[in-house]
Amino acid sequence: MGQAYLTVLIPLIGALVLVIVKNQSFQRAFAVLTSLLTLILSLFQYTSLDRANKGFQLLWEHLWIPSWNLSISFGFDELNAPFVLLTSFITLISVLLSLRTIENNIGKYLALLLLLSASVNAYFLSTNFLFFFFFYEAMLIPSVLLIKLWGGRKASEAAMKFLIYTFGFSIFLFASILAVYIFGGGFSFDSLYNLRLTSESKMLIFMGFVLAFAVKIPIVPFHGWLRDAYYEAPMAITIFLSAVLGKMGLYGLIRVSPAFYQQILAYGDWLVGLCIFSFVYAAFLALFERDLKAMFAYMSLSHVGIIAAGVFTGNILGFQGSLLQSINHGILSAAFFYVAELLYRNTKSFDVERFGALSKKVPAMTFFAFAYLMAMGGFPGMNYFNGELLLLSGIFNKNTLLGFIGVFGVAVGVVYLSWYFYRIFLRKPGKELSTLVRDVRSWELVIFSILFVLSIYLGLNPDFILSGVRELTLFGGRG
Amino acid sequence: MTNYLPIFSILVSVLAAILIVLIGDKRPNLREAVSVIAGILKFSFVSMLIPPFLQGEEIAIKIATILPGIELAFKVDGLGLLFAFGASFLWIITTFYSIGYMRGLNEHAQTRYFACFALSLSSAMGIAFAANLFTMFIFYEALTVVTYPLVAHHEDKEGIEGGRQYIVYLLGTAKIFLFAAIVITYIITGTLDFRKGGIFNEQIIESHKLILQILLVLYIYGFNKSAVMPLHSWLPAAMVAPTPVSALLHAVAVVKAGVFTVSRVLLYVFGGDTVIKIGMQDIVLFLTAFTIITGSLIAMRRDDFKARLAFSTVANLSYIIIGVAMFSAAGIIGGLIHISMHAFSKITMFFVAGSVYVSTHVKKISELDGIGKVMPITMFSFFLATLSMIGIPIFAGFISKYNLALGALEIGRPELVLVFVVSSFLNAAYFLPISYRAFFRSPSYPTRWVGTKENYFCAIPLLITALFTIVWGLYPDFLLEIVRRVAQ
Repeated sequence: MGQAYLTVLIPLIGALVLVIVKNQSFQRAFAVLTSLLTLILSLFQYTSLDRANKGFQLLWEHLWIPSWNLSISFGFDELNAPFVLLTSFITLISVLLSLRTIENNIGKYLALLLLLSASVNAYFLSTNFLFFFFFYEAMLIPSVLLIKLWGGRKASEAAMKFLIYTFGFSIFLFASILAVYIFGGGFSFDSLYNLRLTSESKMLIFMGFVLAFAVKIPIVPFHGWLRDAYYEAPMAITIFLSAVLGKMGLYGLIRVSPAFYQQILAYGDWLVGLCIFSFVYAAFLALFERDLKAMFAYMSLSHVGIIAAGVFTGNILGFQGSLLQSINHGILSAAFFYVAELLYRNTKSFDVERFGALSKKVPAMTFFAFAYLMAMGGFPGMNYFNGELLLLSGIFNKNTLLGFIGVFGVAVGVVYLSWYFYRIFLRKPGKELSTLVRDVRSWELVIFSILFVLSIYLGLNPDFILSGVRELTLFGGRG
Repeated sequence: MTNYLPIFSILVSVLAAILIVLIGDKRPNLREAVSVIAGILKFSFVSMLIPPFLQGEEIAIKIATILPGIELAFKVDGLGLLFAFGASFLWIITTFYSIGYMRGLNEHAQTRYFACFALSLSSAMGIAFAANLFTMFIFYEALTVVTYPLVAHHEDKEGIEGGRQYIVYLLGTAKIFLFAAIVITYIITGTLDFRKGGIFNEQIIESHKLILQILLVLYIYGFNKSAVMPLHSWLPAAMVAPTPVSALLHAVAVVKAGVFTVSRVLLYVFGGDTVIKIGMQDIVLFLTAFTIITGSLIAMRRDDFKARLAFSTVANLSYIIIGVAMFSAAGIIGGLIHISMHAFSKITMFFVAGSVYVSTHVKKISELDGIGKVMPITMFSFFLATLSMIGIPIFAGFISKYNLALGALEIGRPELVLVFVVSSFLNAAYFLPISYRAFFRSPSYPTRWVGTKENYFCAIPLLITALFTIVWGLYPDFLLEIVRRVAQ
């Protein structure tokens, strides 16, 4: 019971059923049911993992081409398990939100969304590079279709840009994986540690991984696709993109970088520097943006920058920070985009300047927006603080100057967050659109509360994510 | 058995805040009763902690371990108890005063006001009893957030602007300086716990001298509620708030939390030896001495009643830090006891400024001529507080200034005594004229104060706090006993 493949299979079957059965109300109910079931299963799997055990658990393996020793296999370990849980959770939120917002062809839409979820989970769960790569590419199809067919006015261009960037740069990932196969003796993740190559060649392989993932995450200057894709996608998909898809790149980095310890030691400063630059640069983009959805997109871009920096610090603090903050960021960016969605729902506008003085009118939403703001602003005791503390500890350890720049970026983050909150909820007098906004109600209130509770729970108990990633042996030796 | 009183003292006002919001504007008397009862309960809880503390009992509670070396935990010690005792006592009096003030002026949003007030007291207790930097940071930030609605209470252009400066300065410095300092401390030592004598060992001091120097500056300005110059300007800007809020800011919770946290860091994160070894003692002494003199000089030139008080506070906060930074027994005693001594004097003064405003709507000192005749209790109390601020014997202020001067001599820095003397003269120079105007000048025109009456809801509390400046001046032993434990 609880085998890893079920997490992929259930949404996949759900997607198939949605294509076959045409009854709309059935489709809606079934999509919710499927994603709920996946979430419960993921939770069950997550809690049943033995944290002391290193290696993959709940492993499922199927020999695919015996003569080449190729197999398809899924399994959990301490690195991918949090990501799978996050994906299942965000999928449920996206599905629920979609029921509210998507009007045409909802059956097909939900099928694609479940397919996307299945392929992303499969990517996280893959225990060898071949299927890791396969699902890395496979998820592009549903995501591009979702953006293109259900997105805004410029959705086609946005989807195309997204496709070209990710698909284009994945050639580097492919090259690196091939190199690992040839020089490391197989597709398994362990092969990374068997590379008998000069340090320069290893660096090339590492750069291949980094380039591909840097586009997926994305890190400035590889972020060209981000604004349009996030902006044009329907909100449920934006949430999925920001909360989960960006994490695919981060997970990739977390997965491969321990094997390139020497390279990180030698060039880590540059890589951390680039990520910190991305962090601060995007923070300023967010600061000067008056469109809420775009602002949150840039905020997301900014934060994944520092999360990626944590991996390149090459120390356990930064590494833990990346893992923890990936999950925290997933939860909170979903929360922020959801707030934006509620503002947009009746006003059809994301323009910050056209709202104001909402605090008295929509108290529940104000409360949650403020709580998420506190969490994301790194209020101690809430989830983001722990991640920030670990990340910055890691970065300071690596390079003090970069640490201080990182702190500066964090401060800029607080500025745009509080400024956005001030302009929308506090500033008087309210602008014309404020009268149209409705407060959070019914089951959306439940979602908001769960996100809030999670941000406190993970603030007080980061071990829920981190247990299992404790020792420095991750780097240099086997994980 | 674990003693949960520290937790109760935090929770009681959280609970009160919830009740206040639930009761709301419909039943104001019940709402204010909740505030008063919570205040009395909180004060009792804190008082009940004193006997076991004096008997040497260890009171520590651990709630959760967040990360290795980072815990949500509370611990009671002399320093925290001193702060908590003063704050919880003054909250009761401030509550009565607030009722008079807010109703007297028919202020809006009173429910929010009283709820935020209660929450700010919870934060203050959290700061007082925090056992480590992480826990303290939580409540320090919480205090900033919950006091923001109080500072911006009027919601007019001035209020918003003052509130903006308040939040930008305090949150900004906490994020840029303090957070960085905490991260660096965590990396260097692997812990954020408070330990008497500091957490940096010889080896760290040797190898990280420069980092520690930077770290100390980050802490002093990171805990920006202490308003050490040049990052002090949020404090005068926050004067736009209703007067009881200014009293809360200046005497009860906020700035006292600032100097409390700085003292905590100086004594329990660094420790005297470390500060002296890294050669930072002189710099801290200089910064604070500079703030004392400059703050007083600026205060002299302010005609706005509350602004003069505000700059006086800026100067007086540095008294506390300078005393602690002497790291001699008398210096620490003088500095820390000034937390309470200044609190009682300054809260009286703010109450007076507010009481005058409630009765006359006058904000300027130059317009107070002859007001002593119609508001005798108020202006007499102000005079008492003035004597205490100057440091006349038998008043509270004398106890702290005497010990501070003693401390300066103990460490062989007579020039600091000169600083205290000059600043006492300056105190006299900017406070005494107010009493002079009130009692000895005739009103600007004969009918000026006709119809002006004292509001007793305001006058009684401020008389009580004024009398306490004499009580502490005559019977300081109780407070000194607590402080001595810290200085040992």
